[in-house]
Amino acid sequence: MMYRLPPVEGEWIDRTRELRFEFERRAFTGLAGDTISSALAASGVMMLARSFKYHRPRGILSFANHDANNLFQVDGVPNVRGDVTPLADGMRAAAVNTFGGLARDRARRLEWLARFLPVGFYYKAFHGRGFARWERRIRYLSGLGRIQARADSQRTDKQYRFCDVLVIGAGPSGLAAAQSAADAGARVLLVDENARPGGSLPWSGATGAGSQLLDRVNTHPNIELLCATYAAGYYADHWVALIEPARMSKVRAGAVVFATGLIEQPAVFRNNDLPGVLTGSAALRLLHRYAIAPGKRVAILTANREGYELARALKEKGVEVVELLDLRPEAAGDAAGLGTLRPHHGVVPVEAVAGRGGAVRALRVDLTLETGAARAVTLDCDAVLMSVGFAPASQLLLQAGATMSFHVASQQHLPDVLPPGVFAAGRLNGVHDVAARIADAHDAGDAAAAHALGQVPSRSARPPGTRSISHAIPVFPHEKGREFVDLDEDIQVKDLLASVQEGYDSPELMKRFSTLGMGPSQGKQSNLNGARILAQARGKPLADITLTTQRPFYHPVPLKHLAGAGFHPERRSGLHAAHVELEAEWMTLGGWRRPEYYRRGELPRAECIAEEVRAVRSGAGLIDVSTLGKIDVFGPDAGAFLDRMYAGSFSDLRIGMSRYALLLDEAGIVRDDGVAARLAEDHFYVTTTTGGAANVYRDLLLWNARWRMNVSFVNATGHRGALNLAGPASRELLQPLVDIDLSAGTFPYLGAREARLGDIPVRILRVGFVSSLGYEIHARYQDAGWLWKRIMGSEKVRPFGVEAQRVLRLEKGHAIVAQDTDNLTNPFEAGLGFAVRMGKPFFIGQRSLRIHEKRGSRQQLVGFELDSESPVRESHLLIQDGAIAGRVTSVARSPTLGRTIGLAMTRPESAAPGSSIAIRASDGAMVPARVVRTPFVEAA
Amino acid sequence: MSRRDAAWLAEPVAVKRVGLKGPRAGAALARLELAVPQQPNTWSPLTDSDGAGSANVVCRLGASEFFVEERGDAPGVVALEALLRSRPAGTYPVLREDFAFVLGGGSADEALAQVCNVNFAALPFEARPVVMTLMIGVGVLVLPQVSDDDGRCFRIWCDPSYGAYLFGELEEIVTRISAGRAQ
Repeated sequence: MMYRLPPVEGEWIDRTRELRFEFERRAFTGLAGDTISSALAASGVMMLARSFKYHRPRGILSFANHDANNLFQVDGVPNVRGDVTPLADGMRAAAVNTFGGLARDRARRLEWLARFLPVGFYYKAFHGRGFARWERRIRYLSGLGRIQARADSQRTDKQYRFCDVLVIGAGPSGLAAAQSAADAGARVLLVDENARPGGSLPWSGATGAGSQLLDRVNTHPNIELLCATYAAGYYADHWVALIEPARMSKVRAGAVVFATGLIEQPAVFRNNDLPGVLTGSAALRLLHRYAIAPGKRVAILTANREGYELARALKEKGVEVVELLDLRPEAAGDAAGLGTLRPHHGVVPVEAVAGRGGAVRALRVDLTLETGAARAVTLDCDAVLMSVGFAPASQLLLQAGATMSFHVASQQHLPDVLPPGVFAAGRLNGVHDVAARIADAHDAGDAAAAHALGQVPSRSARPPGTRSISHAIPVFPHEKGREFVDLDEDIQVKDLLASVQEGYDSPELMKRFSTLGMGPSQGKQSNLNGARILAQARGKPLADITLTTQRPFYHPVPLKHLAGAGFHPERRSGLHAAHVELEAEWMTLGGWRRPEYYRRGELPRAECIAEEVRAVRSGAGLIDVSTLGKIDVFGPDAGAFLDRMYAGSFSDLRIGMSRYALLLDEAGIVRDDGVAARLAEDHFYVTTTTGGAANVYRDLLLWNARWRMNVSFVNATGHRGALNLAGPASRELLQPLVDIDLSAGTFPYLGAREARLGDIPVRILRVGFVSSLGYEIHARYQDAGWLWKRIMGSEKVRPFGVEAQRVLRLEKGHAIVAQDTDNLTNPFEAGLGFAVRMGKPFFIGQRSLRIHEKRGSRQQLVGFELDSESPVRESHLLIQDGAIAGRVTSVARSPTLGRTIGLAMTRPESAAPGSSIAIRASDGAMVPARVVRTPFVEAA
Repeated sequence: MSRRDAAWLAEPVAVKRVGLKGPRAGAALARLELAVPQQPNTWSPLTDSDGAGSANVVCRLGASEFFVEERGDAPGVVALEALLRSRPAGTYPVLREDFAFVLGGGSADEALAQVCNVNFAALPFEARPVVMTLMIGVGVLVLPQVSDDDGRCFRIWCDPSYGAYLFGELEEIVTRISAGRAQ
């Protein structure tokens, strides 16, 4: 059982401040500086979790922010990482993935069914009708934490950061790299996922030099240090996402040094997952940072020098090491300083034995006698520390584009080729002895600074090192199984062998079939052993097996960090205040806030809209159309340019007139529409759909970059407001306000004039989108509000909103691009052939239209009406002879006509007026409709 | 807490703006004896009598577009507007109804870091750069300038339809930063 030791030099805890917390509804105390897991360990709590599949008891494994079995539900927040989350006074924590609590978890009985739940069982079972039910059950049993909708929300901003050199990892190598880069004049950002910098310095044997490094880094003016911060992903051009406690920072660096070190790997033997079985480096972290002993009788399994150093470190602090079990056949470790402890060699671990409460109480091994024979023994212990090997923490380095290869002598994957600006240092670079590590890191820091500052970097070759840090294959299968390779997913050796037998014999396939490496730790402590097992099963060397590349994120990232502050750009017209005053009901359309309709007392929505429609039809209505795209096209070639861009003709347009402008793409598909008005010989004023302005403007620029015509464009969309005064009374109401003659003879339909309304310069276009008589009045943004009030000063004018506008244009039979057309609609199908001038020398989409003309239409946009009220909606399908024959694109009840009308795409053979069509409503009922000519309302 | 430590926002008053573009736009400025920034994406004081911290500026946006802002009677802008009304060849008016404001203070960089991925701190102010970029989804024009009291400030212009959104979000950020500094 773990316990707290007397003070340890450099410990991270404050023994003067005791904190109270709850775990699984039991009260405990810890110390300020503890993490949740360390506080529980110090309290002797060995079982912290239940495993994912079999609900086996689990405890600390690595204590390095990788363990899936150290996730807790804390004060309503799921999946809190116990290894690194600071303990807080009053905290209430509980295990995740349990039913009825950690101790009495009802799902622990699943282990009895283990033989029926091999890897991939769900691919083969539950076929047929039962699958959905079983899937829900399996998902329910497999959850990690519970989201509580009523939990307090936490704001997490994002920010951008910039530096010359980003150093990831603040252990000895990271500190050295940061110092060198900073000394060379680079601005350095140094990050580490732990609460304090230093990493393995306390147990590295470099405490003196290490203290100097720490002091230098802490006081260096060129270094910014971020602790409790991890690099979640590497993206192009040295763009790195950093996850800080309360925000995400997006860093752009000139160069990046990866000093991320190694991840210790577990040995694989029966019951290697029991609480009390943990890695050696976990024990060192517990010991040096939190003054916690891993147990009272500790056994060490080792296959490297690090295991011996571990034994010495524990003994120095008064922890009893009862056994040192070397897997290697011969004496290869340094036994000095171990006192009476004699290492055994050639040890084969058989199984860990659980005691009451589920924690380890003994370890069964086969010892090799001097005669060479093996003897099975049971060793009493309450902790088993595994120091059998390491894998490089190379995930981010691989994301940065580095290549790695396996070196047999050191039993480690090492970086081969690194992209420019990317540097690896220290243990990640295959340099293990601490003095050599620091020297290697200084060199990497110098090179990174040189790269970032625009000089030629010089990186020394990796120093030669042949010390093996890992056992070649620390995997010891047992006939009764439970030798866990992946503790996140409860993957055993036999599961991987079964995957290979089934034919999933590459790392990618084995991963996907078995889920190896797909848990929260993303294979950091399982991929390497899995590759070893696969290599052995296939009779290949490990060097021939390519490990899977871990994609971002390095650790799971809380969704709130990704969401950030939640910016939602929103546009408002210059008339926003006026609409508020008129009690507009708002909607968002194309990024703009627009009035959907205006409230009238207690009238329901539908009636408000109907009233607005009737007002336009009988008198005059005013709508804010400031959202329309507005682009000025200047220059001697303006008309010729528009002839090329649009399907119609504009170079022959008279000054003072406008024309419908239809924009196609090169496939002849309708993309946008509007009106082009000619205000001068070299000046056109072009409108686009709401939300289409940016794309159209971009296309104008792109095409002219190719054509190089003498033309300039100004996107004035947001800088101008626009109103549409529509209805039979619109002329009579507008005439007194303007200084030009609006009579039909002088200002005909499609006329365009520059005028003054009061003192305000305006552009007036005579349009007919919603009614036969109507005027669009365009003015500067700052003047639009005054114009609105001036026109609304007449009692005869009624404001109308977007919904009324939709109904009004539908009554006129006018299509809306991207509602009544889609990504396959050409102008002939949409009834817009009148806007196409095929005789022009060239326009975008012309060639494709010739092909469409020859082929004939596959569909036709038609008007229809219904004889009675019905629940027909947009996108309802037209059905003919049991097949889909089209769809409804627009539908509304017309207050003017007193019946339901709409537009639909249908087969050409059903497009003739008088044809019958059938529409399938949401409840499956077939609604008969009749094709009619448009407009539905003629002169109005 | 002084303005030096905090971040602050202000909206300019009594300014006139005009834009122009085209192959002869620079010549139009020169004809009126107004400054013509030599390099694209730089700015100059509008006239010789305007200093480096002046509110009267002309920005060169790309190769052949200019944007002028002037305070008070704005004789330069008035003259330019008159010239543009006469429709000189190769010079076209650009309507500028921008929403404008100034962000300053010692924590201005911190506020900008939350909304924009340009490294403003690294910009050489003495080279008088203007930056066209995006801020939380809005296209903006940013002019870093040395201010009299706080050392540095950033003049920001955007499409007026985005003004309420952009200013509102920045106001919230500046308030939080200032509150954090005060603690």
